[in-house]
Amino acid sequence: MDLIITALELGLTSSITVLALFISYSMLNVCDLSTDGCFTLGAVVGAMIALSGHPYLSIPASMLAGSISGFITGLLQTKCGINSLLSGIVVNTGLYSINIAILGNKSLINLNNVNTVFSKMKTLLNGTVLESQYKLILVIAILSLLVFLISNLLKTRLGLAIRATGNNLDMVKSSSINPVFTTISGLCISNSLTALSGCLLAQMNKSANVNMGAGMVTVALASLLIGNVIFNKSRKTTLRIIGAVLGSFIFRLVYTIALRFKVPAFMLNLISSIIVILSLSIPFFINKRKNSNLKKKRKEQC
Amino acid sequence: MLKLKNVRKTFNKNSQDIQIALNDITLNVKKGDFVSIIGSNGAGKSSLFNAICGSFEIDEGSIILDNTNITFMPEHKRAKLIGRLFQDPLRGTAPEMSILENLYLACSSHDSWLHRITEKEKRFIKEKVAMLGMGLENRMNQAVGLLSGGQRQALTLAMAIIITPKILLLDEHTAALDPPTAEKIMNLTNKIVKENELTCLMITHNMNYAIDYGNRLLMMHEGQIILDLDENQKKETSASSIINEFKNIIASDRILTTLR
Repeated sequence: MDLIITALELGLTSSITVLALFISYSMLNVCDLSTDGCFTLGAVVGAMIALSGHPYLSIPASMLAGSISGFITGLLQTKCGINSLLSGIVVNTGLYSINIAILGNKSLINLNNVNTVFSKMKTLLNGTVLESQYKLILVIAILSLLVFLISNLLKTRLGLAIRATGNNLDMVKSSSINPVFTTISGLCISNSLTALSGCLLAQMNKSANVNMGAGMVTVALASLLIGNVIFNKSRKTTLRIIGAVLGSFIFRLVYTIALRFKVPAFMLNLISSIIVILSLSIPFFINKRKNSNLKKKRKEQC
Repeated sequence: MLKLKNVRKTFNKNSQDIQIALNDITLNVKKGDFVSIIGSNGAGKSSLFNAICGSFEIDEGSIILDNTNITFMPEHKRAKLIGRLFQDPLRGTAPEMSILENLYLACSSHDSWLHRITEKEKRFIKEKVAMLGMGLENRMNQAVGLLSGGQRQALTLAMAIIITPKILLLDEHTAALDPPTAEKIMNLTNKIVKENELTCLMITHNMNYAIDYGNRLLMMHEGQIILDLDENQKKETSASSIINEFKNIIASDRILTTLR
């Protein structure tokens, strides 16, 4: 039971990053490689602000930091003529230094005995039956709010324009929508979510370090792709969002079980790489196979 | 309505591949004109449209649309004034989005970013789609990617005119469709242009379309307009006489093949 709860807590917290990738990767069709650095950015900004005694402020502050990072990534790829993958990598590299600077030239910070959003939640639930699950409750509350907000946002004109930008750039331009605006605002939103996810994870684990985001983009992508399998090609955006969250939970669950069977913790990144490789290449090969079968048939008919 | 004055555009300047796309084009299109444009490949027809739409900035000259100088207006802003269809029927619509969502984006430029589609707008869009006469109004929530090329081109047409544009540009918009579908889309285009009294420029490689539709005919060659027939001259002309005219000026393979 504890195993599942831990998987839930971690899975749901990192699923906020999956939601971010849902916006940038699935909607905007941009593979945002600054995710790793942005996740850490949110963690360190949140941690420093919690450390200074403002746990509630840490959430908007980390989201703001994330959206600034997203703004820069977006600006580089729309206005500075830098390839979208490269601009993500460049921002990611730059963020590494910035994150260390924010931590005050340290690579690790401890949040033991510091008031965090989780410890506040614990005090709030003191004496009720829910007290022991304070982490889970807070994460679920935040997550359901986000799912509600994002699924509604994607139905607005801005959301539709962001989707169209990833779908057909020509159509966006001829609909008199500025694709620079939609790309940048999409990346701002997605990166603020990534940073929020990092902020929550740092406060949950009561520590933040400059390497905690390493490989996050692959882990989140793996979760996103697992979620895509669950709600295979559903047209309903809300279902796809929930699928992304579920994917993240399943991924963490499998991982936690693997840990139980003495798979070392450092294997996480390899596992997520393999999941991403398989879930992207298998559909490709299936398609190829179909085509070659068709070709064979046609040859036979000739 | 549309005035082009001494428009010039050269690609690959200062290199061996120098290519003069538009060579001193001056054109005056009146309100309500339906102009067909013919010419061989590389004659500058699409470049003319790109210049009007702002896909690139022109080197010299000016473009005035309905008394507004649009020479330096960015592309996405001009799109409010201009409707455009491309040869590729997939280019005008977003495949993963529904018919409703595609058309809404085309007519939403006055809405705030957080606006959601209202029932009233749904009805309005449905009416517009019903006008196409393809039964698509009953499939409003279907992804556009599942539709045929002809259906998608018809939707693009609906998107281009849902907010009445100052001018409609058709860039070989039936060329990628099979003949019966092309015929259908051409008739639909003609009907919509007439009903809405649109000003329209149409590039085509189909001589019969060029002669049957519209009230003015332009022929382009090497970045210049080499022939300009008004309504009366057009009535008296035939496909073969235009070809002869063209042969007299220059030989071109593609137009000849189209006629055959």
